Amino acid sequence: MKDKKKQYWIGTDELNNVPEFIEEASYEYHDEPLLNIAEDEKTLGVKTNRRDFLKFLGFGLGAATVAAGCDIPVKKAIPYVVKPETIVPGIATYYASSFVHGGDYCPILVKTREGRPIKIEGNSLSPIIKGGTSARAQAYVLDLYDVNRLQFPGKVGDGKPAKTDWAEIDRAAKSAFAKGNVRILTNTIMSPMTQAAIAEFVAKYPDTQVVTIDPVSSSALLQANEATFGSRFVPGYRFDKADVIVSFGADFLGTWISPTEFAAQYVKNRKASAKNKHMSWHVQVESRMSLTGSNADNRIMVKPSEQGAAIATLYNLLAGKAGGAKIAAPHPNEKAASALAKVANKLWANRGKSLIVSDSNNKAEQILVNAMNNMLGNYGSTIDLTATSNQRQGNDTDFKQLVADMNAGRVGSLIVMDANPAFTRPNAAKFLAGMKKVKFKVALGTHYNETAAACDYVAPNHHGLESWGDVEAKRGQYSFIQPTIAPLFDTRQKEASLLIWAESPNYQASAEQPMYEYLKAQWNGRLNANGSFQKQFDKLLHDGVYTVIYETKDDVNFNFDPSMVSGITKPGSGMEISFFEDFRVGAGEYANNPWLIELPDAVSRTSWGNYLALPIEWDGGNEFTTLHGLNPEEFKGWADKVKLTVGGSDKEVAVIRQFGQMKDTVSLSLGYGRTVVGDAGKDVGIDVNPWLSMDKDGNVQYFASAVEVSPKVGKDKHFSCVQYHHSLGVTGTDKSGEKINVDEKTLMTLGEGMQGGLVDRSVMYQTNVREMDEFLEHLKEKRAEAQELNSKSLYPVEKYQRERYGEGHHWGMHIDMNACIGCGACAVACMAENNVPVVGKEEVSRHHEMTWLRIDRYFYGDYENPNAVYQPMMCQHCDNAPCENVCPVNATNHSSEGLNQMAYNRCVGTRYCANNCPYKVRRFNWLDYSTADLFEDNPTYVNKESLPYGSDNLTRMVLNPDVTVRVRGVIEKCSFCVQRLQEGKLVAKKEGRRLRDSDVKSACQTACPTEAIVMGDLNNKDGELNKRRQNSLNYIALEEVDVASSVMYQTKVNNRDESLDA
Amino acid sequence: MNKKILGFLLLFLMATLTVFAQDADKGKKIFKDNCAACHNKNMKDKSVGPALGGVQERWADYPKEDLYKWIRNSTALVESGHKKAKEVFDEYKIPMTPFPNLKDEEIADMLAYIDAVHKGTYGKKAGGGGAAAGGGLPADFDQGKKLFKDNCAACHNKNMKDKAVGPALGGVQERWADYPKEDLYKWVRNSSALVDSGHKKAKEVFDEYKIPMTPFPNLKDDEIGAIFSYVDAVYKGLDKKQAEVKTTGTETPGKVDVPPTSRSPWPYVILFGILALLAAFLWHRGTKLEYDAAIARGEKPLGKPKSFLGTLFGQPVLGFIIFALSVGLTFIAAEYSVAFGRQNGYQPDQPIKFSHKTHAGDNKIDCQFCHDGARRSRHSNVPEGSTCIKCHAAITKGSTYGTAELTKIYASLGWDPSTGKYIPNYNNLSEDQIKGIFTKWIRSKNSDAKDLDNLVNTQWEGIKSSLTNPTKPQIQGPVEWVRVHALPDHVYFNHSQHVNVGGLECQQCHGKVQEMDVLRQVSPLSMGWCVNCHRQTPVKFKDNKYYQEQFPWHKKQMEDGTITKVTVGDLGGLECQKCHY
Repeated sequence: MKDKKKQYWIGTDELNNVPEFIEEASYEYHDEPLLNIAEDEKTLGVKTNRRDFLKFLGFGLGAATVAAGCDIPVKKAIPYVVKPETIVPGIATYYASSFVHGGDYCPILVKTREGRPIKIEGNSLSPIIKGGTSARAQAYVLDLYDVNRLQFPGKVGDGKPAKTDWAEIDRAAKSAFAKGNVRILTNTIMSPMTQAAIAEFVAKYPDTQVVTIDPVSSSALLQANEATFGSRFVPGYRFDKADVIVSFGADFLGTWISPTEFAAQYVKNRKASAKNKHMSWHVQVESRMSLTGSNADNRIMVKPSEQGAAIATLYNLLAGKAGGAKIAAPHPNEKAASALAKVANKLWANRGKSLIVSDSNNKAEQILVNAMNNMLGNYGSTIDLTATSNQRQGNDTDFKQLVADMNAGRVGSLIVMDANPAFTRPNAAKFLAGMKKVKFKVALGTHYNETAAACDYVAPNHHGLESWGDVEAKRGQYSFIQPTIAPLFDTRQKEASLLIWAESPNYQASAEQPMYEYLKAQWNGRLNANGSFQKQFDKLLHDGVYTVIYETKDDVNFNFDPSMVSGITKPGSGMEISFFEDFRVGAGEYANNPWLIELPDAVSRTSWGNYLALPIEWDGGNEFTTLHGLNPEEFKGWADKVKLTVGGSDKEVAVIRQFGQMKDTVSLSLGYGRTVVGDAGKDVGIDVNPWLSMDKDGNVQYFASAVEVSPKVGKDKHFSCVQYHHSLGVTGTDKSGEKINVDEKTLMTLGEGMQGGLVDRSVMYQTNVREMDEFLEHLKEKRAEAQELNSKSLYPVEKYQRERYGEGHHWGMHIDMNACIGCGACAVACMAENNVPVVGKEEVSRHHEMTWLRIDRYFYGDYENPNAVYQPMMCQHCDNAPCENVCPVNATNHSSEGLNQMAYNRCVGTRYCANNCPYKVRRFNWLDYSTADLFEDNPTYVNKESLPYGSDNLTRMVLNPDVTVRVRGVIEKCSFCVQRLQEGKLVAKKEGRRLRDSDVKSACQTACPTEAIVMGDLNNKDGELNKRRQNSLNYIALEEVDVASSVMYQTKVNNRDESLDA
Repeated sequence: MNKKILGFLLLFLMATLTVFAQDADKGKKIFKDNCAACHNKNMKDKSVGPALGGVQERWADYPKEDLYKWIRNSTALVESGHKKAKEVFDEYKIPMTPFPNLKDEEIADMLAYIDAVHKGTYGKKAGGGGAAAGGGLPADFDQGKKLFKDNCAACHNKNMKDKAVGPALGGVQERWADYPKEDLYKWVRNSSALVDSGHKKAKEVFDEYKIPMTPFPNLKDDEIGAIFSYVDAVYKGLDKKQAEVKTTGTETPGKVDVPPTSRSPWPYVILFGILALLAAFLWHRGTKLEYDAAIARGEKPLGKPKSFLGTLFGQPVLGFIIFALSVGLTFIAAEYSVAFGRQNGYQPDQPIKFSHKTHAGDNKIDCQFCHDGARRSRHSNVPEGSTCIKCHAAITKGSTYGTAELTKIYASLGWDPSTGKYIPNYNNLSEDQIKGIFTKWIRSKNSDAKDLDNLVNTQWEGIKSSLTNPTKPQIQGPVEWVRVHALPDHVYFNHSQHVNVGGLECQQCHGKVQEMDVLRQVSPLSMGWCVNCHRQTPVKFKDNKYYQEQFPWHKKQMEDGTITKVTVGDLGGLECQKCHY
């Protein structure tokens, strides 16, 4: 159902025009009554009387006097003893390496300063990723400095590892392994070097078996390929070559297989413009709104249990066209079935240019997906069987067998490498019971987790940025891992541990870097025989990537017959729940990384935990209802807690009302509620893994039926959803039914027609590709109207832009909202680059998040099945900036290069600027998040911790030394990465030439996997930025308020097929 | 005594004058504003007043001040009976308009301008590619210059005449004339190899200097050739003849070295005190007279006037004093709090008595030989210990302290000067083992000392106390210098921007480091100080294509002479986010 009145919305309260919400949204910050904030015991327990006040006063005066009389501390300048040749203090050195975490993969460049890694960039030489990154890759560097890393070899006992030494572990391990029946339980291994080390281990202890699992299983996909092609592999998908993409639940832009790679491919075929109106059509079949679904043109809603039926239905439809054998299949809901018929037509019309993918972990369903792709002739065109992917290798059947073996006492020793099945598997309890029967268990990982806690020893592994290694993520496409810092702790690379236990002659313990020698030995002979090996190998490490081209296989031996298909999931009835992998913390692997925990989810906009997504129903009028009327006060930072019962067991969980969630379904993400985890991940969200189930193959099923959601049982007072924070241009209807801007309500009462009385603000535009011409006319008119208004300004913006910014540099940005998929890589990159603090759940719920760059998500279209659009929002560097005029101390002002600059040391914290910013991008340091305050002992009570996140000396090693760490009480905001601009200019000056595009790139720009963001010099007429700014789909957010923003957005174009909803 | 001071003053004045005489551009403006009404601009023809060309020569027989006096007030000079003044006055009969407010340097600027125009040199800029391309200079002069700067200048003196770490390069080709040209090239690429091969000349040079020359295996033949032709040109002074190339190197530009005239406040304070006393006294007399007059008129006065002391300590005066004091104290407090954290004049003792005077002054080692970060990084870098070994592998006894200070470096690094090698596994040696190594070394080097045991002991104690502290109990490891120049964390300063792009001499901010035995912070490093320099200092607009291409309007204005320079501030160098981000 669609209401034409309202084009864009962010949440129900806005649509409902709850008067309280309108009131609330008119304030810059969430105004909680003082008593609510002071309600905890700590505050209420404080009793201050007049005498205390006088004492404090006296102390304050005394302290100030003492502080003022202090001597300046003596600072030391400590040089190197012998300086490494590659280090010039003050100059960053980049090393090519790879981010690998199970199957997650990204070739990276690691920026190091004075020998410490501080930032991750994408490696643009990589043919797979082409320079993009993901939020996880960006946050990888913070993991290195995690205080909760395992810091020494340990013997497990009393719930934590006690310090021991390597010799003891090695002795115990070797004697245990000698007794036989060794099992190695590992996450997916993409490294030939690791495989070689394991092979040596197996050669030494022959009755060793390797069991591979993935944190989130894709086991059925591999089984299906084994059945149809005869070997276990994940094919190479080519989303750029597909004109019709149908995804059954696969969140391929967020988490599925290789999202960074797929995102880059996907947007290539989505960039429609006035000149080129061709774009792919993407249909997502799902029950919850995934990141991928939010980017899809059409969504077909099926319950989790109906997904198999939907696949089978589509198969039968296509088989009918192709003349293939039909199968007996269950039916999905009516609406989905009729939509699928239309999808089948389109697919058939685009044979060879279509692609069907599914995240189903049911072998029969995956076989059907393969059969459909085969009927459509997609193998060889949109699915590459040559460059197959190694990113998922987990075998659930093997794991099931392992658990059985362990419980039967058939396993002598167990080596756990990185994997954490005690948390991620539905049969964890059985696994843990089996562990007790294994004599010797050792965990090789970087962190202490649920599985390590059940082991006898932990043999801590190096962090990836301290390791040597290689990766073959896709067949023939190699990249390398090289250390960028000496190991911080007494750890040992996991391959070294295996080799030592295998007493391998190839492991040269006396070498300076044994694993380097080992890696080199692995590659010796595999490179060009002509020429020096060392030289070639050095080049490999320098480039970080190496590609061997395999010849394309033409004949695909596809083997399918309907009898292979048995066990398609039967659609259930009643309420169902889907469990999904979060693009931030995965299945819990990243649950201790505060950058990722605090990054809001793209669709639900929640951070710090998992929230049960409830569907929203619309009565066709002005009413939205959710189950039991839950969460009426989301905008106040409060969420209701409910009792969620799945299959008999229940847990309390906070809920969120979620657009795009199918009726009678709910969803909840994996990866939270870890019990054995570090400080950051403690008590964050709830664990859903016990609710997962397994099918007959042992494949984990990520949904459940027979779900009950109780009415409200409690309240989450720190609902850390940023949905209603910093909203701009939120419109609502006033008492008389007129549409108004809620944040300018007061002005509206004075009279319409004033600038503040504009009721239709140009924050967001979208159009259907078929209505583009019409839209362009409309946009042109709107922009002309705004420009007409602006031309009446007293402030001579144009003159200034011409005369003041006409020479030198004038920095600007262009953001293509067609390319932006909401993945959050830019937001994390910004935090890393600019030392943005993590504030914690409570602070987020009070609108105090410090992010300089946020990704606003707007819904549009049908209320019950909407589309979404993402808008990265950061300081727009207005040339007529309203924030600048109101600063009483001129702490924020304009540079001759068009930058809206912020001088922290001048700021006195009036926050007038934040109040006056139409884009709401200025952030205030309410607390001393960074402990950069003058008085060391000041920050005692931030986030209920002794120290705020990241203020310990280890984590502070990640800080960018070129950017000031802000103290409490100042405003901060996006600077367009001014430190990079200055650096780029300096390079050009030193070389005595014009500035090039490549000299200056903002952190968000380099992080983006889809090249959605381009920043550059507006005065460089031939630059990429000016090229992009020519597009007729461009607009300026809030152009009508005449702030002369330097950022331009390109309208989102969708390819929604309305007939599908009919 | 007085004569000496006078002489010094005169010298100082002349020095100032010569310095300012360089600035003909300023002089042009002064001339235009003041003189052009009566004197012809071409300086050659008479107008109301005489042609000014050659005026200094015409007055050369008289002290310089006389001409200045004439400009300020010619009539007075004529009346004083000055011969030349009378002569000029008699010729033109019209007394010259007096300019009593023109300062010495302004007059000097103006005279420089006059002189330049007269001689036809004004407007013809020194340096630049155009001039260098003309005859006389070798074609590869510029290439050679750059290569020399990048590779050789760290060890060889730029004037090609004096020794530095390495020998003076002037005439090197002549000195090697007996050998084939390739030998010299080989020497440049890898001197040690040549020495090892038994080459006679090579051995001779090595024996003299002991320090092997840094090898430059990547220099091509034509590049080495370019360097030599540059060396030759400089040695023979061709460059000076061609164009007035600005002097660089260890000679500090005079402008910087002029100490700022400090104005003592005391004369004012004393003057103020006397005047205040006088005012109080007059007031007191006034009231007294009024009182007397009232008595005399037979009126009843309001009250008996206070005594002088009574007036002095009376309420109004005290009130004023308190007011003045509070204003003054607030001012002082504000001044001090603004300066809080600044430390110009800071001259802490360092763990090692390293003398910049010995190194940069006496031995003329280029600053960037050790502080190699300055030209490429934001930090100038306190040199790592191994830098010292570059020279002190050969020079094992210091000129001032002998082994006392140098051994500290060896002990910090683990360099054994007696073998010329790093001591293996040094980090794991015990203190006694280290003591053994270095006391033996000190003993061997000071064998002629009187109380050898005592000397060795004192030196060892010195090493220990300099290299250890409560947080660093080990002798091994870096020397913990006391940082002299420190900017607050919220200030971004980039050395390479200033040294490399701006072309500043180190001394401009750090003072005459080459004369300091103990390093001292000379500049306040305050924001006002930075900003002031950014306001005044021109960027190398004409030499850098970046500026030329990115700033076309400024370029145009430079070309039509509307402006003569573009300062850092003109290009946004005063904005907050140039230094704070």
